[in-house]
Amino acid sequence: MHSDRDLTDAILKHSSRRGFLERVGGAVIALAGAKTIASAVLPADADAYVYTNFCGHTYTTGNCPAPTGLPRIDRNGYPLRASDGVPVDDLGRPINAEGQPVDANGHVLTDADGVPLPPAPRTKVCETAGEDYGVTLRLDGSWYRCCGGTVRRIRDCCGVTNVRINGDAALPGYCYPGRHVFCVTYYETTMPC
Amino acid sequence: MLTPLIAVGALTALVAGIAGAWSPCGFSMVDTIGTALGDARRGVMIFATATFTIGAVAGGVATFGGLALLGGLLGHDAAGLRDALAGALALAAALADWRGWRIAPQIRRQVPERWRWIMPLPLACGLYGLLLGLGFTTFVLSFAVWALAGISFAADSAVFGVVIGAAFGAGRALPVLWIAPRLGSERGDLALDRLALEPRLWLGLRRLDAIGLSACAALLAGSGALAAGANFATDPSAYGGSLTWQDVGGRGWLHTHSKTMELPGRLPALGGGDLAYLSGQEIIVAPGVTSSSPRTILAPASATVDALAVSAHWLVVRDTTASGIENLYALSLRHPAKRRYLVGSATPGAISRPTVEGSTVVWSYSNARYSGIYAENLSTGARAVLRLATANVQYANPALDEGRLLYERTDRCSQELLLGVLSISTARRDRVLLSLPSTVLRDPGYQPGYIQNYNSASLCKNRPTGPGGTTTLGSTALSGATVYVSESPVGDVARTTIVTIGLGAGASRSARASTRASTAASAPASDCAPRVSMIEGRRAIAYCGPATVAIQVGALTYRFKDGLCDASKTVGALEISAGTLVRGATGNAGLAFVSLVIARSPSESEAFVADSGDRQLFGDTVIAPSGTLLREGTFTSLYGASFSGSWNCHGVIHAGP
Repeated sequence: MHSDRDLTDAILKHSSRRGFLERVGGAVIALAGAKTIASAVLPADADAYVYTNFCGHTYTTGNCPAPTGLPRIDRNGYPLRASDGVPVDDLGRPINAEGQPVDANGHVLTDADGVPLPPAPRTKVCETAGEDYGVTLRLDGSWYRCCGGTVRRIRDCCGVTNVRINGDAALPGYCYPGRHVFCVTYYETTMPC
Repeated sequence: MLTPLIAVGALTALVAGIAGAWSPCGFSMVDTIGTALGDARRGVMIFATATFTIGAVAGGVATFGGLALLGGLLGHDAAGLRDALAGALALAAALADWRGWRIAPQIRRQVPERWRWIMPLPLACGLYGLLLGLGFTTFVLSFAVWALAGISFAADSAVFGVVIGAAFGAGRALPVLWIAPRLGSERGDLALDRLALEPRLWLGLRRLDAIGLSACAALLAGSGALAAGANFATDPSAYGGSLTWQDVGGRGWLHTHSKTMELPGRLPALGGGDLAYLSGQEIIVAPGVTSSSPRTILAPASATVDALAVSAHWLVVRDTTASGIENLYALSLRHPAKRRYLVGSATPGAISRPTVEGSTVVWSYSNARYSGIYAENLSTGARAVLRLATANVQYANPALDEGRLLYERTDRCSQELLLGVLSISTARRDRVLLSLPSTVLRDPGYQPGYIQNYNSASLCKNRPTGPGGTTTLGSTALSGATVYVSESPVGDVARTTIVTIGLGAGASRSARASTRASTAASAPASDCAPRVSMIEGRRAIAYCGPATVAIQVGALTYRFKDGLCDASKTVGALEISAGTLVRGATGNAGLAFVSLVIARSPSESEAFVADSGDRQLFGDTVIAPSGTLLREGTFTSLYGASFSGSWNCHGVIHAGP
């Protein structure tokens, strides 16, 4: 669908009749009883969507459970703290590259004896949500939206399930055929928009 | 509790009081009491001597006790700094008194002479005594008085202030008691003459004061470290009623039924009746805890030992090499050459402090892929997984006692202290002894400005969003009916303390009752009634309810839960009973129990008894409450055993008769 929309847009942009269509296109097509065609061929307003819980997430599927709240993940699906993108373990503690919990300055946290605090498991948010809820889940498709000046990748956590995390019927979303969205995560790119 | 500081301070105060006899007031008092009424009224003179003594002691207690209370209002923060300042003041005063320097600042005032004429002699002398006992209303005859005032303020101990004040008052009264009754006789007059004509005696007393103040300064310097250790400690280890712990940044300590002593080493551990600790590069193992013939085992030269555990036959050591490799291994105490390697990690901190009972050693191991608690039979090498999680959960800080397993389970929402057995199959039935909110920063699961819905999976039921709890659970110990766990303030592990939790019969109630944070927030309804049963052939009352009491005695904090708050309309006081009372049983049959009565002033508040484990923390004594009376507040002991504490009815107070 994405490529179809791009193709349609490209044709319109290169057409000498573009200005005319833009002025009257929607009305004309609607009069013709083809409103769905109008929505398919005209560019979507990037700010017209109503997002739920976090920017970029449409519809009402709930967040995947994440260590610090919002289900922000890294490119591999591991949890990040939403506010600053710092890697966190499953307990929500900021960690270093070795998985050791660190303070705000990146220093390894220690106990009263000066011994570093023990690491904790750090698992993929989507897969772990599946283990918690008894469903085999993985990240399938994505959609990208402009959020806060950068491109955000909305990643659906999908499985063979008809129910989503908040108990309602599951939607196809960006999942592969035959699978439905159980919960949602997102990945913040560095691309300005 | 008579500490060396109190004892030395009291002697110094006594001498400082005696030195006060060389003041105009001191001489006046001897003469007033000794000669005012002559022999004809000797009975009245004896009475006046008694009132003078009482007044002097009361005045001293008022001044120095008041200063101690005033110092206590500043709280326990910067105790080390205050001790250091008090020590410096004591040293400076000692130098001045030793050199016999002129007293400055001097208070050039005398007691009102007219009282002698307008009041009955006993009343006048009582008031004179009061003024002299106050110390700073008339001439000061030694720098020790100023120094003792400073030490009282810094000591943050009402007991210290009261004892010092009483000793000072007694010192002021002693010369009067010694000379006044004999005045008029040759020996009495001679004694007064010597007093008046012999300033070297006064200077000699000041030198005694100087020695006492120097000793106080030394004790303050030592107690500064001691106080830090006493308040900030970690790594508890318990066995058979004895307890060891590690001062944060200091040495290890041993507490037995009969004494508390500093150990000549670090990382103490108890087990199987043995005590082990690290002294330099040697691991000392003392059979029988206080054996005079301990064994010495050389620690590896190429690694740093950072944790020990000991049983009757095994010593378990955790060390870290210079390259950061952490190892855990066991040494047979029968055959020290027999060494069993247990686990290693390239990530320091991954292996917990070990615990060993008999031949069973238990430790936790955590990395980014899993976290678990493991056991190994050191005799057979058989290994078992006791608790394991591959996601979301960290297990840590296990402790063994009599086949029971104490450990911590932490997830993104909470930290729990649990008690179970050495089997993974029964983990779901483990008792939650303590539950605290997680300490991590959590967002609300939505971004501001967007619809908030369907994000329940991002929330924690036990805590709000934001910074989270302020306490991190740490090392643990278990012995009989007492649980020990260290608690570290977030971002300040140097202020780690050891908290004690009694495993009373009522402690098996729901976890909610032991969850301090959640009970405070939710104020659960009291749907229970005290239960009467027989324990060890004696009548026992198991109280229940959300009320909690915490009592701080020296280094340890004892927490009591399952408490009932009962407010009496007629008396206007609140009675708090928490835990299980076994009437007439020695040591309350090892069960935790505390009973308090809190009343608004001028009524007296009282702490009847507190038992934890096999130890009675204190008997019937008077306490001074403060805070939001009556539903919650804090208190300190006024007499006898020194302790402080707090109570909280968590919103449930029954109306009593």
